Amino acid sequence: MNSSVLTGILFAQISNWQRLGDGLHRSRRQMDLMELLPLALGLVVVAIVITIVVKVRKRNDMTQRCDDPNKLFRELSLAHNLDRASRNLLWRLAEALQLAQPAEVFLQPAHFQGDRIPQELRDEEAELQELLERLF
Amino acid sequence: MNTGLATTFERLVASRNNAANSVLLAALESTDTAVYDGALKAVIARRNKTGHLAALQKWHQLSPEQREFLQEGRGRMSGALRDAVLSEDDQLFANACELVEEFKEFDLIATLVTLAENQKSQHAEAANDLVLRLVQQLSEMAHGPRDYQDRRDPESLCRFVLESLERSVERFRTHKRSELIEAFVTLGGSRSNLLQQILDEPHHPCYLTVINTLTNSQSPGVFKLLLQSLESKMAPLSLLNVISKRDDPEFVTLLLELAKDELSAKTAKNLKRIRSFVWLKPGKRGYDSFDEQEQALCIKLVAASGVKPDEFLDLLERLLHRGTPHARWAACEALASIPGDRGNQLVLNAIEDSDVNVQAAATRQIRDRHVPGAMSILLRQIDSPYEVVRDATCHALSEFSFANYLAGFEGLHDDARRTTGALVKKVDPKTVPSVLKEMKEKSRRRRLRAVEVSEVMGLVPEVVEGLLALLEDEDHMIRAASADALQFCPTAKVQNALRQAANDPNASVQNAAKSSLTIFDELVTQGHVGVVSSVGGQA
Repeated sequence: MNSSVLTGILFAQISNWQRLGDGLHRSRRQMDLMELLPLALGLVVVAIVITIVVKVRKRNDMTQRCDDPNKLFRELSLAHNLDRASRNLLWRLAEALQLAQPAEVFLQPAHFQGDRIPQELRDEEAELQELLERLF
Repeated sequence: MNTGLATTFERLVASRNNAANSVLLAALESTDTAVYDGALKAVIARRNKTGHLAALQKWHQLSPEQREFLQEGRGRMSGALRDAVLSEDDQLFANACELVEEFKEFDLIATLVTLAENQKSQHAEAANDLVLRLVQQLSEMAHGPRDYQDRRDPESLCRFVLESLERSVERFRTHKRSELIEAFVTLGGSRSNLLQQILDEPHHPCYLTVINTLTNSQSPGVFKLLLQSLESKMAPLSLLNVISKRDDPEFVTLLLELAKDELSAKTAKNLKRIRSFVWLKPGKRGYDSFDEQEQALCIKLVAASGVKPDEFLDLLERLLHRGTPHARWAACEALASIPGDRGNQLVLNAIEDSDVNVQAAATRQIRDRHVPGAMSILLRQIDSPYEVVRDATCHALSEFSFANYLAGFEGLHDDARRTTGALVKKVDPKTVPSVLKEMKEKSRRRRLRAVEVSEVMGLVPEVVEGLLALLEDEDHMIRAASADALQFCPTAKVQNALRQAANDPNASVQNAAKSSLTIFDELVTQGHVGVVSSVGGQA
């Protein structure tokens, strides 16, 4: 009953003993390295994908010990559920204030309003005000 | 704190990103109170020594509320405290010392001991003082009631600290820090073999410092060591000397409390080796300053000690003269164990004391002391208006019992029977029941003697029921004696009984009854109105 089921997908049938020792015999066929090229390329692609996945996972894994100011900024942004625009605005504010660490901006309420807003961000005072209320 | 800022700090506390430390340290420079307080709390909550050191650096500037935040970090900050204590920065060191004392960080004592021993360190003196204060706290913690909110085991802490102090004692020749020896003695107590060793070696370099500490320290550990030594098999002589020389009220109070209960054999044996107490001298810190109970206890303690009898008598004399009533009573009681003329004189003086208990105590022992004139004093005391004095007199005259009187009755002549009988009547409260019992005895001779005794002792009114019963006795001699004795109880009931007895078949009984009735009639004639009217009226 099994053989009737496998018949449809069976490509070749050979005796297990018939090819034993083929690769060892003097008359064996020489391997062409070019035949391995697709395999090597495939491996490279897999490695790159794995590296990217690991990097991405590591970048977003906040449970791992590290000393990464940018990651801390992301961690705080995630904690406050900030969207990309708000995150960008905060990042630019941190840069404008020339803070030692971008995350310090989360603890500087004074720079979100009035004259303390850096010149280049004056146009976005309303958004900053909104962030101020949300973060502080 | 509002939700947004709270979320930020929550995240910063929980973050495993070390960059959070720098962010928080930067926030500690903020002028915004909410940000500053949040950053301070977060810094303490995180396990980061740099952050803790930064908080310690600011300790002296913090408000009481902010200082509370640091209290919450107790246990997490040990590392930072150790670094701060060893820091060259004066302010950081001062802050750390304050916090170490407040947190009772006994684990840091070993570090502080090392620092105190370092004579080149500018902080050695302060470390020295801090060690002493911490050891004091630890000693109180170990000897006081256990605070189960503090999960540290005082015994384990003591062992740990004692180890470092013992090592310091071994280095005493180098550092010469007597305060460290004091700390060692305070904590060591009976648990330290090294301390016992030092006490046994007067030439030990630390001996004098140890003795000085034992003499002056107010630590509960030292008190316990000294008092426990009295309960040991053979207390070191050096400790007994210290005990005899201490006159500070705190220690003396504890010492006197030993005498509250019965002294154990070991304690009594050790006390016998103490020849004097510095507080035996009158003065500001002497027994004069003791309260009533302490004065009484001090007598008990001195009595058990090896203080010379003359000195003991001096104490008793002064207390009998100027002590409180309770102390005078205790002094008088203590005199019982001291024979001699001086003691006798003090007892005689005590009989005139204003306090009845003192009078009683003196009266109780006056006969046993063979004081001249004791009997006349006792005969006076037996009529004292105070029951306690009368009881004491009865106790002193206990040989004047009814049983003894009855046994010797036949041999006494009439006067002696009367005077002794009167005394027995006062001394022995069982006299009346005993006479009544005798009147019921089967022996005719004893019943007859009982009638005679009641008459001689003047007990007729008290035993009238017994005599009335004897009017019905089978023996006519007893009936006659009873009828005769009843002449001393002129009541209507007796008169009726005698009238019946006047019709007795026996002539001697009739005569006795008639004779008694005649005496009743004479009483009426002589105008004993109370008796006459009562007899006549009731008849």
